[in-house]
Amino acid sequence: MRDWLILVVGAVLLSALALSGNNYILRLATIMCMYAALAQSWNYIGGLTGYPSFATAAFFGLGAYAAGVMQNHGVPMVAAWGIAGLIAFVFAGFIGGAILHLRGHYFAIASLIIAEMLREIVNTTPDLTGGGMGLNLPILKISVDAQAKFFFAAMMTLAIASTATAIIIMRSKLGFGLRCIQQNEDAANILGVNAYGYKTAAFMLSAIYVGMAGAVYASWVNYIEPPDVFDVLLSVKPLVMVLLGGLGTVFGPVIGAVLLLTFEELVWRNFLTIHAAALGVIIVLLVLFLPNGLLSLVREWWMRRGARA
Amino acid sequence: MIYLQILANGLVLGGLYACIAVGFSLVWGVLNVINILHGTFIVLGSYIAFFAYQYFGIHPFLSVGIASALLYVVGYATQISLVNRVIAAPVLITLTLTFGLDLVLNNMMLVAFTADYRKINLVNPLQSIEIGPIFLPGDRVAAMALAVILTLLLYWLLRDTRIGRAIVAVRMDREAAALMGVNVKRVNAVTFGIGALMAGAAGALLSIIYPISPLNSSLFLGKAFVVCVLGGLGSVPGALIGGLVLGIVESFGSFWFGPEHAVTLSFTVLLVLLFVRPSGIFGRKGYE
Amino acid sequence: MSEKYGIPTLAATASSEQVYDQGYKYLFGTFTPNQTLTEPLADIVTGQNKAIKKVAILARNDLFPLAIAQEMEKSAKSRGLDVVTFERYAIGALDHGAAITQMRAANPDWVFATGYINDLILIRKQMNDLGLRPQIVTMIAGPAYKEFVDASGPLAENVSSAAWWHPAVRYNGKDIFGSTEDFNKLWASKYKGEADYSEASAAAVGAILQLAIEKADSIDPAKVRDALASLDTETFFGRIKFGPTGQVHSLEPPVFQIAGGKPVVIYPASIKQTDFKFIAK
Repeated sequence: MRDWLILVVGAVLLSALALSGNNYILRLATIMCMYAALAQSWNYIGGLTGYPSFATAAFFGLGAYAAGVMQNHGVPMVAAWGIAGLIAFVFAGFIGGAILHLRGHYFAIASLIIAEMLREIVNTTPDLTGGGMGLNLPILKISVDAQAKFFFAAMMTLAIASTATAIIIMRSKLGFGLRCIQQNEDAANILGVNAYGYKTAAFMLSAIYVGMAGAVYASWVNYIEPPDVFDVLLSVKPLVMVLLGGLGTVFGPVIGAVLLLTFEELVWRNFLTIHAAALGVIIVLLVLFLPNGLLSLVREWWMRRGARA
Repeated sequence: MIYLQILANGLVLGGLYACIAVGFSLVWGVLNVINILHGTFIVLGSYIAFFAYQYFGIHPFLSVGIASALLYVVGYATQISLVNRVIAAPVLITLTLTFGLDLVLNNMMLVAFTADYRKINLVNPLQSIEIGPIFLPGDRVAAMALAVILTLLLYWLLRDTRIGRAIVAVRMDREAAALMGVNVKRVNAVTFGIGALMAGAAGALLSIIYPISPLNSSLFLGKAFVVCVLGGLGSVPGALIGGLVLGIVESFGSFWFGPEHAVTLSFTVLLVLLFVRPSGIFGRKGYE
Repeated sequence: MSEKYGIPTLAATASSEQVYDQGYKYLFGTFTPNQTLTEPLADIVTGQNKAIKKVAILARNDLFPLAIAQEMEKSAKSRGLDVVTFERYAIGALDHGAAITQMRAANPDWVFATGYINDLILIRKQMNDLGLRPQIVTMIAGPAYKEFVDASGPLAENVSSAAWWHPAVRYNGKDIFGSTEDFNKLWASKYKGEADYSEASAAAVGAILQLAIEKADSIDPAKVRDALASLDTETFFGRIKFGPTGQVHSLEPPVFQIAGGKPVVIYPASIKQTDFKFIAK
């Protein structure tokens, strides 16, 4: 119950802040919601289930191109988004069948390769996707201001939906099963947990919101090209965000998204040439000193307080 | 007749790929760490050779030794100070760590050397060896030779030296090795150092074959991945065989399907392999 | 983006007509369409040497390099040349062995390759390694850069190319930089060395925008846009007059060739430094 309350309050606060009139803040808030959705999605398979997926970029790009191609053939925008999410969902199901039997490193690499393959496929099918030349999407015929608000609303919906899904999963049989798989998959199997089914479900869920985020992104920026939407950083950043906030928690991904975005903006503005290195340093420090994320620190502090009282 | 040339191309390309992958395979197979820094280490080796040639006139073959030594130090230091802290951690952690380190190193190189492509032009360039109508580029043949030498050296090291036996022991059972008096931390660092050394050696040689820039590191890394999965981990000749097979597959694949599909092709091979036989051609089970 | 916001945008390095024929009214570009690079070159070659019959084309599978390669194919075919192979290579390719072997089997007189610097450096080297030695080697867009000449060493000799501008051209501009010579001097004093065509274009874009604002006598975006559309003036970069799609149509891109490690201009006649050279067999 507490989680739902936090979600609602958080959403209201964010909206108030974002719509307060400053366009820059609005844009940042939109990106933050997108990051949050990506991070939440990754958490289902990476945080809860313990399968380090690098497929986020694959689903994002797939959703972006699916929506782009559909819209250029006349499909209305919001419908295209929904269908893009569905396509990513089904695609994850197929791919899952091929790679979910792998563990550890091999799974990580295989999921990484999926994005590379999809990118090459787009590159070599220019008639459909524009190939290396990129794809233009139709511009919404409403004012720039209205567009900004509209896309913020869209991304926020995704962020809320993915968080809500996280809350539901955590409390369900699926969530319990996934956590068992993470601890010891073989034992889970012996105890009757349908490991294969559960992890496939988690993998597929991790694709929906990411696919839709890709679709919304494509409509927002009106031009996409393969290196842009299949960028490996799209797979790495959500991972870092969840590490930052706390693996396997409900709000960890959101906290991580806020932190990373803040950091990025600060660095981008002030240290353009070394921003990649700065991100690298953050990642290294994070992994070495805070592998359980910020929320674990908070929890420890909270518990210590409680013990003293 | 043209098929002979395509085959020759594939073999020397394969030698090149083997060269790139051998150090990567060692670190992955023994330490169970996917070293994202590997591609950048190779590029660093290339720059060392390039500047050695430009400012001191040192021939790249000699630079192989210099780059090896320097990169060994870099690798050893990186491992003992940073990577070792997470050596027993799950894949997620080690992969992300080396990814972050790579971002830092690559960016630093970009700032220091710029992204401009450099290349070494030898005063006496290695000529192509002509056997009838077949051309074998001399420098690629040299890369193949280097790959073979490195593999042989590694084989000898692991079999006949104390440190080599220690490395094998640590791989088999970390705790047992420690109980037997092996300094695991040092062994880890030595292994990582050797991996970096091989990357540096490969890079020094590659400086006469490819244009050099930090932007190339991910291309090398990608190839190293495919070669390792293809050849299999846990076996010393794995990278060599994997490299040759990949080179031939790509050469014929480009010829039959068109060069624009070369990259897709190697990744498809990788995926199929992961699905069918993740341990690769020579790999041993249990190295997943 | 600019269309959405109604702000005129000057693209400094976009040449493919596909960029401009999307119906945007606020987009202008300082590069002429791609065929202006291949047509003069094809004229020179066929005019000077009737023995050149077979052309092999290798293109990077990417917007600009592919577009230029396709223009070359048209220019070649329209002059009766035989395009014996047309191959594309993947972005990020580390090896061109298969493509070059195939080209060699067709025994071309002229090899035309497109891509970015790293691709072309590698291709030029592999051509030599694998024994492909045609009479003409043309590459776009590598030789225009000093990086290419430095990295290729002796293999850069006699490689020909075309670009939208070269420091050797001579124009008397009405813009802030004035004549091309003045521009070159200013560039050298600030950055050392010579500007390449994309750097010059970027500088030109700023100068052109200034001219347009002066002409419109205002910074209202719509008025500046209209001023740009009706501009017809000479700048250090060349004569600037934008066509109906917003792409400039008035420039004459120079053709040049590497001789003695330096680019020399072959065309247009007004600034020609020397004749085109064929590589001896």
